[in-house]
Amino acid sequence: MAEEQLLLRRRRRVGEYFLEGLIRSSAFVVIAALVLIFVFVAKEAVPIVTSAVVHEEVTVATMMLPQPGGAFSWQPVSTVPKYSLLPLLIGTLKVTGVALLIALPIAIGGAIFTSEFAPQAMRELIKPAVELLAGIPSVVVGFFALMVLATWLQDAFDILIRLNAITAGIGLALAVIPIVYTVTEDALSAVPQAFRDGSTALGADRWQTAWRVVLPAAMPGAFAACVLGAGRAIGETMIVLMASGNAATVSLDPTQSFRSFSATIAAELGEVVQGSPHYHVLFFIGAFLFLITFLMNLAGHWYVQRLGQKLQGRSRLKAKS
Amino acid sequence: MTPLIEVRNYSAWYGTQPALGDISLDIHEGEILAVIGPAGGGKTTFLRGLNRMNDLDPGFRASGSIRLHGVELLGKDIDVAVLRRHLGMVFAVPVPFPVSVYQNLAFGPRLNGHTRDVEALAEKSLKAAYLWDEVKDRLRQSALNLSGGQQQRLCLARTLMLEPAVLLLDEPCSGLDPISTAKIEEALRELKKELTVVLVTNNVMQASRVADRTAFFLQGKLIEAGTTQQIFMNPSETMTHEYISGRFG
Repeated sequence: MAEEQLLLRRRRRVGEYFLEGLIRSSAFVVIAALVLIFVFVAKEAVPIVTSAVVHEEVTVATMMLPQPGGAFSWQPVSTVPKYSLLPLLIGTLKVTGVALLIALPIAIGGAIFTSEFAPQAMRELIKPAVELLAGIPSVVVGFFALMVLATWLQDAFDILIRLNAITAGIGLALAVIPIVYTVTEDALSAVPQAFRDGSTALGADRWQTAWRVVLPAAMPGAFAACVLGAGRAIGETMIVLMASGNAATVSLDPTQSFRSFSATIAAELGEVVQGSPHYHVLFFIGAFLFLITFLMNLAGHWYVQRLGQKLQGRSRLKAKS
Repeated sequence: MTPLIEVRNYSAWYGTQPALGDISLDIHEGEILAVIGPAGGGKTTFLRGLNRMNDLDPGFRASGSIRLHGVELLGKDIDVAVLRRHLGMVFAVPVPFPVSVYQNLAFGPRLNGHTRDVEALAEKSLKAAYLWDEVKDRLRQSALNLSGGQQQRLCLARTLMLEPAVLLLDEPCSGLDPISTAKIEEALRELKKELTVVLVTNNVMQASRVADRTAFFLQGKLIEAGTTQQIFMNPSETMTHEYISGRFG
């Protein structure tokens, strides 16, 4: 009897060992893929800094500094190729700014409404509906922005240029809202009911409870949602490629066309001569984008942890009030 | 003497499930009324009915009458926020907000836009909750750094910041060690000089230690209520006697 049990146990352990190995290796595959992608992008970007052949056409300095005549132009295929990153940087920041300005208030407001105010039945309807929005392919959103939204906006605000940062920004916001919304809503719903009861018993109404107790308690989650949304906005390609007009202008005016980093890579990498300076510049941009999102996530992660520590009382609070 | 709170024929349901049936009970000014009885007997429902915390529970319904100073509390025109400040509540599980000790205390006054004298009131409330000596140097620290017993006394102090006329306590000592429990009981004895206390407790001995009067709830009914001495020494119902002597519970 005891011997049989022993055998049974042995067989199960072999199975467990096998499964554990499988799970472990799949985790490593994910990490390895990430590292290899970064290594590949970085390897193709490095000649910008090291290669003398590339330096005849472009250096890190010529990408950052004004060109002869004081212009900042992105004209990689003209007879004298010009590779100023400034218009692309401005375009990227402009559209990200517009998108976040629209998306964050809507997404966070919607999350507060669904978690704190909406009746149960409505909540069960709204949340899946918004999450479904995240499943719409970005090319479809881009198409909508390009064909429908651009015309509406042009008619409504009498804008000269159809494809601009407002059009693309709204399209981008449609992609960002579901992410920020759903993560924030989860964070709000995870706040214990006891907090709401405690606040209500102290004479707070629903709005005061949501604003002063639930939202601060859910702050780490809400902030993480915003970082996630910002990362999506910076990296999103298809919507921007379709609705931005792709003119590399140096202008902060949101009614002007623009060109973003991501759209530039998508539009030009298919045509570029492999190993040419232009090719390496595009990879340099890719590495730069990678770095930006990585640093943003890192900063976000650090801040969320700090907030979490504060909420759990592990660190001293700064005197406030 | 007219009672402070008159509960008459109060019944309550969660959906179709009856929770309380036909409760009539007086609460007198300046007394500690203990509400005892086995779990699921409606003690907490009764307590949450007094400050209308039940309103938040989906499917909750109540009938009958609860009067405070002759004012009907179940009326639609009652401002429940004001009512809840008047009848302050402390829960079984301490729920300090994840901010500093001081910010926890200032939460209630700030809701009403009061910013004057908050510090003086905070000191008074902490002293009344027997917590001042332990936290006076840590007011700016997170309330979550306090021990469980301290957190519960902080919640008591936070409720006292509202300067309520009635204190509703829902098993406030259920998760606490004997020393913290003793401190809260000591605080209640002092507090009843200024306000009225309704104490729901699972601990029969606690009722006998601090309560002036005791009410015994069983399966949604008020079996009997009377002075603590009478309930413990000479209960008129056999069920009361059996519960108090620990035959069921």
